[in-house]
Amino acid sequence: MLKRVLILLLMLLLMWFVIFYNDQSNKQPNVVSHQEKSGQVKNQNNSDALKKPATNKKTPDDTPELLETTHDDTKSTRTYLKVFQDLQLAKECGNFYVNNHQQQGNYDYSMALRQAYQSMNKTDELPPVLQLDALEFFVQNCQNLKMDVFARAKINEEFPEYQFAYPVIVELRMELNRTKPKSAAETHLAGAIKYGSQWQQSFDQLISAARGENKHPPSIRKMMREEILTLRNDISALYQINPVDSEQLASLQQQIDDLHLKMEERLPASEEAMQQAKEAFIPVNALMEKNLKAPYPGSFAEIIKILQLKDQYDLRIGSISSNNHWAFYLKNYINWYQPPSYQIMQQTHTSDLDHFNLLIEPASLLFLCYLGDDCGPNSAHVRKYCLNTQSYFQPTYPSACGKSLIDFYTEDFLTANQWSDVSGLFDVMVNLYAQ
Amino acid sequence: MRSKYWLLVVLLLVVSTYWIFSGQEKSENFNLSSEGDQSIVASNKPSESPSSESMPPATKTKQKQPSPKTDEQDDPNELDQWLAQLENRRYSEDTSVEITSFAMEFESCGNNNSQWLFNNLEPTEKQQHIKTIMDDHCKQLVNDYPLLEYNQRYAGVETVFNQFPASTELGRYLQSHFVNSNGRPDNIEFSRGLVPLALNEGNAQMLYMADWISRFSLKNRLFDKQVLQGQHQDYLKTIQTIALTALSCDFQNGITCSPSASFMRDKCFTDEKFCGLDFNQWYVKAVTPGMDADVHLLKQHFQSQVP
Repeated sequence: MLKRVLILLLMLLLMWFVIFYNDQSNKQPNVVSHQEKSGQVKNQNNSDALKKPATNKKTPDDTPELLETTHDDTKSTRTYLKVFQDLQLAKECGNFYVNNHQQQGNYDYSMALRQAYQSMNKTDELPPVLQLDALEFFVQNCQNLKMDVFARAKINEEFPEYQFAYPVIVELRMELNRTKPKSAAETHLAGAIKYGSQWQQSFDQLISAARGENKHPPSIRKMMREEILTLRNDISALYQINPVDSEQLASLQQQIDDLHLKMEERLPASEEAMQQAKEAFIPVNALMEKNLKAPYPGSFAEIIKILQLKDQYDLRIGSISSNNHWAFYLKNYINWYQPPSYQIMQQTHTSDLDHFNLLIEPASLLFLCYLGDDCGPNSAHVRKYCLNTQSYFQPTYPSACGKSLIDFYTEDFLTANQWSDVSGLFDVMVNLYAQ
Repeated sequence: MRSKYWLLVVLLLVVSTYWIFSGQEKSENFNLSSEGDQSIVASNKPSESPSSESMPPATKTKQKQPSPKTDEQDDPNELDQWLAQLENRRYSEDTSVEITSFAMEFESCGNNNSQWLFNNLEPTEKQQHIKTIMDDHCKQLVNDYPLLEYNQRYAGVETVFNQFPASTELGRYLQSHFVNSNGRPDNIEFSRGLVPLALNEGNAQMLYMADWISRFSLKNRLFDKQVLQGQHQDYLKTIQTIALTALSCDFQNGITCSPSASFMRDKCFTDEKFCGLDFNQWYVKAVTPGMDADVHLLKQHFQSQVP
């Protein structure tokens, strides 16, 4: 009898969880006005454009804010922003974690930097001390973060098995979902993340509708995928035999190609479905665009990254690259969609996307500094130039190490004339998003 | 009481099944879109350069065709064929420079295969128009100079210099670098030295060559740091290409600056609003005031290097 009661209780608990989950995911965005932000520009610079004090920025009362309401209360004392920042660092540490994990803690990161430096500069010299120090500092931060997260999650093994994302990232994502945003900036960021994923779903639906529905149901496609996996294994097995049977290899490869084509088969696009998808997309897109004007660097970067169809590690706020695969979809299916960069570009002196992209990256990072993002010598923005850990140290700019972003830009990175263009673009962004 | 249990169990099973399957569907959609992306990315890769066998059989005649073998250097007919084809000089009285310049002009034809430039997108009408002009020009080039198709990159250049000893400073420079380095000169050093000589002799293709060859190096700056004090590699590469192209416009009636020349062709294929514009028309629309100032600085620097 006791067993039955326990089972019943467990079932009730599960049902409550399912009902609660559905209830939360059905909630609609809540638009409220926010308090004026008190963030400071972390680093002052020599440019007139950047001398504008952050405290002078006035945000109109009607500036929208994405109110996040889906989070549970938690006993954690860590703030939402802190968890978010840790998650960003964990993503940055991703390559290090994976390499170090694969080599069971023996990954020689300074050797990797040295090899990249020597190959890039065609030299036998060691990287500058400041760069090595910055790497040491970064790796230490990654290690500390891992230890903290593992301790909180009670992961006792140093190198546990994992299948997809690294455990630090997984744990921090879960922690972020559990943590309740409190300040205006946190609430806005949580909203940006949530409605960002809605935007992406909506965008996918738009493309899916424009391309036509999949011809084959998911179960059939799953079978095809499994069949492809089997064929790939057969190919791997073939390579174990010497000499390789090239005819059989070609035949197996052909079968894989045919299956891929079959999986991608589409029914003709329905005008009605396209219209419906467009109608669903437009308000979500408008909400996201409107919220670019809220003066929080984290959510600004998050929103614009999504609207510009950038991948998750790419903080550049440039336009969609012409050779980006999204260009294919945009051109062929939804050529009416214009990301925010188009609006910025219209107010510049160039109509060449390549030139715009050269200037928008520094301009938008300066804009994040202006909104109060950390742009100091140990910030992620500077590390991107100093170490470029995401791209395995290539290329790096050792002169960035130990400097603030603005000092690096003005003293080393940008030519004086380029700085003038970048400042102009920065002003455009301030006028568009921070007035 | 028991029936209620079972009702609850059934309900729970239904909800769980729905939950699991809806999650699976989401995951499949995600996987599918990833695969779709991959297939596009994969097909965007430029195709391998076709071998001479796979090139279109040009309009050349049997009498005009030399053997592609390099041991044919001693064939006296080949010398006559080259000279006959080069009767009307476009770039230089120095035969070795003339041939190298035509080789460069031919290089921008992309081995007669420009389809990959469109990243798997269908060219628009305007892009197609430029592509047609370019393809026609390239066919004409091969028709007029059939030996170009057999000018295999390294052995071919060596052959040229063995057969036609250079008679100008530019020619001797090319000869010393191509022959002495087995056709593989140090990219940056070679290009640095080439720019002033090309400017001095007014050779648009050699300026294009200097920029083109420098692109094979990651750090491809052809000028000292103090000329433009910046480190943004992509920016500096862009300014350098624009400056060298701008300088080349003054020579051979702006052959490297026409709407179908490689520079403007690439611009057109990337963004159709630039189709039909020549370099100077594009410059007005595309180059920002700061970039313009840097281009001027660099042009002045290159010109000051002319002997």
